[in-house]
Amino acid sequence: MAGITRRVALRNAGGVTLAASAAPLLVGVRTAFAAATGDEETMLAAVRLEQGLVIAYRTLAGSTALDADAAALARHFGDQEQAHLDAVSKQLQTLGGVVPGEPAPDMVKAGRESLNALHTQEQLLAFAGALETAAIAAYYEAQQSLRRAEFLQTTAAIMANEGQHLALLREALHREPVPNAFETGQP
Amino acid sequence: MIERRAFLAVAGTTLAGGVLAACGSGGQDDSNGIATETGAEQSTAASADVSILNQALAVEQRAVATYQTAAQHLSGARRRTAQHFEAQERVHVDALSQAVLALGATPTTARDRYALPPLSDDDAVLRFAIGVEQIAVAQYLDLIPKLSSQNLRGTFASILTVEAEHLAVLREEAGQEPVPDAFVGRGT
Repeated sequence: MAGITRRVALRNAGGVTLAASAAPLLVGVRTAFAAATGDEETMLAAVRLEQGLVIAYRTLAGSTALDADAAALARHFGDQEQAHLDAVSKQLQTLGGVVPGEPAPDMVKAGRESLNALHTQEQLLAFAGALETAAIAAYYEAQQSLRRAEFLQTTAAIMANEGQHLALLREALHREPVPNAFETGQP
Repeated sequence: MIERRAFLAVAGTTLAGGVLAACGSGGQDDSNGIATETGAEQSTAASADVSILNQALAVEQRAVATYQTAAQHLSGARRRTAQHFEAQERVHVDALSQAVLALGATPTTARDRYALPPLSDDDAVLRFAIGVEQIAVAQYLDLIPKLSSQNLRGTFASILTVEAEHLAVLREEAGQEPVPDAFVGRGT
């Protein structure tokens, strides 16, 4: 996606300063569907995106910087991302697509580098919020390119669930949970 | 206001498609190699989109009335939340109405009165609002694949996401698990 810069991705953290090393993962999620043409490529990109989110939340949930409530939230959201991953994987397979067994190495590397640079609960929750915002922006674009009704419904239901995650993360950061009448993932 | 302008930009793109349809511009779309519809087919699709927009508009009008009522029954922070959500539903009403008008049609009007359950306490108000949001979420999920306009699909998804966020906040306020399911719309 042209015009998506590291600075824009980092701005989605809602005022909390994130290390620049967080940008590659955020940009990777935000642009997940940029190169996809057709439903099969879009659903493959959705699989890659959800694999990244699962890894991010599992890592977050294991962080000693989170208190018990925040860690429980990260585990719960991670479980829901896994459910998304399972669903989009099945739908990709209905098109004859092959589900990658492992997340893309660059996604894993970007995730590790992102989280290594975040040390406080506020930074980690803000990073999760920025990640959800990027995912919403990606799914918003997918709604405009997907053709099959079942894929549109699944990805819309996932996008709305990511919005719910985002609302709770905003609350955890003491921000207005639903600040905009339209949630498009724009900063 | 910014949000409204953003939506109108989307609706404007749809309108441009409608104008092209009126000129009979069918054929091959160079961007994706997929055969596009004829002018008559596009006109029919735009007409179907108007019907879908009006269905969504009716959902939003009910939501406005719901939060208006909720604000009258609630107090303090809960009242402020209801008023905030009502304002967002009004933005949706406004945007959907404008989109219908942009397609040359007439927006559906709100009812004079909506059926209300007994609202004896805060819990009853929250349950009522949760129910209305659950219906809204289910409606949007049903309507999105039926839209012919890609831009409107994105807009509907952005509204769906906000309704889902409202739902999470209301559930939390009601002492329920705020995000019980990985896919909104299930079990509602």
